[in-house]
Amino acid sequence: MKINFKKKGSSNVLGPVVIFIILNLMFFSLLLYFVIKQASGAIVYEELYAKKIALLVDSARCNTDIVVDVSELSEVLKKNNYELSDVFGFNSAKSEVVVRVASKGGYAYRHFSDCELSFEIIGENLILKIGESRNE
Amino acid sequence: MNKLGSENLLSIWWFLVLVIVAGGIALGVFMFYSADVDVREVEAGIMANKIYDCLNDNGHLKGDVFLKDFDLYKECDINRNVFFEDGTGYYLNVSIFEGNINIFENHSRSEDLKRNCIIGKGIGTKDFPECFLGEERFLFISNGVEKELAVKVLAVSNQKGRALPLL
Repeated sequence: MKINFKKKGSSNVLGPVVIFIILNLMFFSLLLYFVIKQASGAIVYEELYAKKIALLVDSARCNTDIVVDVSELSEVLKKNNYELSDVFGFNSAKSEVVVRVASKGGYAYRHFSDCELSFEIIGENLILKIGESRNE
Repeated sequence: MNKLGSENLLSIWWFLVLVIVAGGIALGVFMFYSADVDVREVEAGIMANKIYDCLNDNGHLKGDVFLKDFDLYKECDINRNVFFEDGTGYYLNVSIFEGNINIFENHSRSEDLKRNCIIGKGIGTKDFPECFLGEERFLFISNGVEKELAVKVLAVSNQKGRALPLL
């Protein structure tokens, strides 16, 4: 890329260069913002936690409590004005773990465990309560 | 040095380049973060381990496995319905061998998943179900004689999960 240097009027030389740099900075800042926003997006967390919890539930024996640190959700929840106590749910009819970090949407993943499931939120921890077998 | 200024810094071509670069990055990021987190193989492994765990009684095979009313799903706290419903994403096959003789077999409904998994392993595609094939040796005492039995478990998962509607 060539820059036009004028012999006269040195004040005019810097003008386009400065605008050029500012526009480029603006452009790459917007791009960076987009990438960061995507990386910390709700969809990623919803899918990740739904699968993580379903696998934990499947691998655990009945009558077990599991503590899951969910502190990394707090920033996303703050942004979406959503409470941690509303994020997790179990759909026992469909044997699904449901995770929702905003009032709309969410992600559901099935589990094959036949234990009674409930949960409790203590601070920024999710306490998974894997209860009695439903067969008994 | 061009006095006519034909090579403007803020030319339309430069903006075109920016748009192409931005579009490429945006597309790449979107593709990366919209990709599924594939846990099917792990899930199949968990399924098989759960079976081994519940059939194991201090290194011996549980005595009631060969009883007529033995319910593998009930014994292992596995929800039978998710394995036997229409369009299920799970398949489980448990076989017990004494030498080369198959003395016990219990499998769930969807044999298609088993076949597709074997094909998928052969051609190396990620769109087919994922499976886990395990073999463990257990001791079993029958009529006062201790035998060694091989328990083979084939667990298949083709679960994709679902995004809930935005409405």
